[in-house]
Amino acid sequence: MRFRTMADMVTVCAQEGIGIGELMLQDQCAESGKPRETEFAKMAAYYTVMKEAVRRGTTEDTTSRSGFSGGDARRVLARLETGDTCLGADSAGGWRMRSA
Amino acid sequence: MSEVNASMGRIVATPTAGSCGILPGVLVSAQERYGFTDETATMALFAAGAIGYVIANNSFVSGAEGGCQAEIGSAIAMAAGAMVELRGGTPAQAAHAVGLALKNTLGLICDPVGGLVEIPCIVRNGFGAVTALAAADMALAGVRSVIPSDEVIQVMLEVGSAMPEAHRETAKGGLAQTPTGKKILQQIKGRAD
Repeated sequence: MRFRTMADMVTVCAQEGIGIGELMLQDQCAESGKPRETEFAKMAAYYTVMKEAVRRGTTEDTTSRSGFSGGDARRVLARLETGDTCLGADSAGGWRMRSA
Repeated sequence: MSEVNASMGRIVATPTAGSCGILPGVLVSAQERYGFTDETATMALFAAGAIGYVIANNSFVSGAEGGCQAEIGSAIAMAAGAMVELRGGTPAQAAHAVGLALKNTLGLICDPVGGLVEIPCIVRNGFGAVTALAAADMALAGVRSVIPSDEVIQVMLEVGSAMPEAHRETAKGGLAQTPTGKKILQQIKGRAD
């Protein structure tokens, strides 16, 4: 890795004219010795898992084994869909997972 | 996402399972909102990873070591920095977002009721996602973290190291030891017996 601190990270990005994501991808490849496509595909697969978990959390029953949690994401989503949230009506703009 | 974790669903630790809801909550909702590709989101994950790497190497990212600030705080910082980059901000602005976000969670204890990653972890993830978006917007607006993010990371280490064991994921203090927290623990135990 060409950086250990946030300051290093910003400096290397500026020197190379790249963003933080690109820096991490390059350095990850250098460390693992694996091709860029392999490292990218691995991370892309993580994103797929994340999207699926968000979909499940906002559409399915998530009652935990203890029974003390679950369903709150759906409650919040239902309120967002009313367009009348304290965070602003537009805060619902990003949430269409239910219909997706 | 955190509820899916608590109900034994499949998640990605970002940086931990207890704080797994923040980065996906921010990125997936932003993708719905702005319509960028999965490739763009994946690059944002690399950016978040870089920030997590710096924090983990200079401080800590687990509640047992540094309290909730290390878990939720780190996740918020990762999501805030990634979001800045995603929205066209500079690496310097992303670093400011990290500093701004981390400052806001300094001192947060890890006090899971019954030792489970549910109460208060799940709502802290929800709040965390909102905080990350606010920190990203502040940084994109040109707000600077006067105390540089590297120094804030060192403060997190200092505060976490001084944090009592009761407030580092042991469920021996905080919300876990409130009357209601103890009652819930008894109910869980009763069911297991």
